[in-house]
Amino acid sequence: MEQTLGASNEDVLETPLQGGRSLTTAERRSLDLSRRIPGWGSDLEPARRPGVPRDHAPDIGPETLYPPIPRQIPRTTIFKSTEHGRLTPVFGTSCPPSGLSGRMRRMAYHYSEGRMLRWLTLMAADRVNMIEDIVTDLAHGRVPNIPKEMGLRAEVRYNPAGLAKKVVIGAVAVGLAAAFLRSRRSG
Amino acid sequence: MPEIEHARDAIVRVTRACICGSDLHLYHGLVPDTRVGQTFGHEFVGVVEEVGPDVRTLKAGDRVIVPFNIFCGECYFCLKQFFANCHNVNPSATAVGGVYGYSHTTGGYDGGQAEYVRVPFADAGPYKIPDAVDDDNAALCTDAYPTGYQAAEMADIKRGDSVVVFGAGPVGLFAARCAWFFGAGRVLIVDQEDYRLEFARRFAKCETLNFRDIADPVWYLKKESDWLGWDAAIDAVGCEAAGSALMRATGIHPFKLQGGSTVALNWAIDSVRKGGVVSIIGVYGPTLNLVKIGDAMNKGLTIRTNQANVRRYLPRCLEHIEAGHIVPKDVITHRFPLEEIHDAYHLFASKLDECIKPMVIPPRAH
Repeated sequence: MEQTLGASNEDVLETPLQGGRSLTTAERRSLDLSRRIPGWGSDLEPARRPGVPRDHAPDIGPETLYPPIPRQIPRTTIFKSTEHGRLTPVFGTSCPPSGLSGRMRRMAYHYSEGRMLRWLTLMAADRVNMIEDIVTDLAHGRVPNIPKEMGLRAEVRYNPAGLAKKVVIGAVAVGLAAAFLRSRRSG
Repeated sequence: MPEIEHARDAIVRVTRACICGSDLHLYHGLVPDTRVGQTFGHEFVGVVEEVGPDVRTLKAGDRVIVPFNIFCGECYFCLKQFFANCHNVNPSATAVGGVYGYSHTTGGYDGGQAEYVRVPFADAGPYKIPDAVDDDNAALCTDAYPTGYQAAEMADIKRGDSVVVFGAGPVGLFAARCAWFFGAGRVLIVDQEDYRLEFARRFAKCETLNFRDIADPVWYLKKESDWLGWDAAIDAVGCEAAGSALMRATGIHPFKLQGGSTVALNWAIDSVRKGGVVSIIGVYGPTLNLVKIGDAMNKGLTIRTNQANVRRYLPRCLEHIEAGHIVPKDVITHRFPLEEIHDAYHLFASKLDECIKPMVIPPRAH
């Protein structure tokens, strides 16, 4: 049974050329849309394509892998993939590892990039890191403004109806949960 | 204020930064080793504030496009012009190169959604902005526009080819627009947001399909191609693809058992013709994925992939701007002061107010 199409698709699809949606052999060979579309065909020739040839140095060997580049001095812990022959000469120094999440990351980097355990441990460490950060904030007397950080102002400005709906659904859910707990306690 | 940490570093004062669709993968917790406190942002332009002692080609005051890739310009991969795959900038992984503000999986660098940024290998990456190109257009040249251009180029388009692009986000829009440069005869873009498809018709001058309007997008695309299949398909969606509850549950939320949802990629594999090309520019996580590789093999497909080698494509992309073929900044729909970036992220992630591309402007931009 043939599938039916939503009306909007039939409405919005324009037919680029008369006589059918796909171009015929003759139409393809003589095609020139440059009057209708600025820049059409300007990179048709392979010589105009920056990615052609794809490989600009097909014959070089692995001695070029680590050229003699002065080395950045590591001032914090930098984890190195086990698949690297040596620490790269340059690296980022953002957010050194610390705490439990840092220990988890250290463990993860013992595994090669081919191991699922490495990546899942890193993702678990990210979540631990998030909790650590909130705990650290609270320990220093800072209460994170999570609604603001999650863009509440944009929600108020651009999606007030959606926000109201979420508030109502949330209030109903909390109310139902409270009623359920109360009934269990009284029962 | 970042510091020079290597003799080839520069410090750049940011004048414009964009939020990329792939930043949302960080925002949604899909990229391993994303640490609390790292500054995001890999799409930025600015003015050179300071250079290290070994920097030769840049000086303070230069306006520069900073490609999102960090690369040395000298190693095995850079000599081949695979700048996105540089081997000397990311100690944490060999499977991916260095990227500004994109987790420690891409090197642990702070990013450009900031007032100042440390830019390593300042002689290799940054590109002086031509006088005729304004900062808004230049900001799109750091990633989204050359990435879309490369996606179209990787599709190996020949005169009259039919090209289907999955995803009407900024990269998909640029891929669709640039497909015409390579001589495409037909370009169709697939998405689930009507406002993006409406924008695509104007900006990319292409046909559109809202996959929510039909039961089976692959069937529809086959029918649209007179049952041949499309000559090329471009996956410009990546790991947060909609269209399958199972894929989203196992790849995005609540489980992260695969490196994202592969719905768009599988539709690309199934809708392209036998012997056709699938160009993957959408980003996926490093874990395994449920991909229809059997169909790809049986159909004899060519699959071409990479992060964009931005520096390689910049000169040609700028020529297209200067020739009036494309105005990249047309995709910018919202501008926020840097201090309100959390609102910009929420707006973009939730697709509020018909957002296509948000830009942030630091207080010291002017």
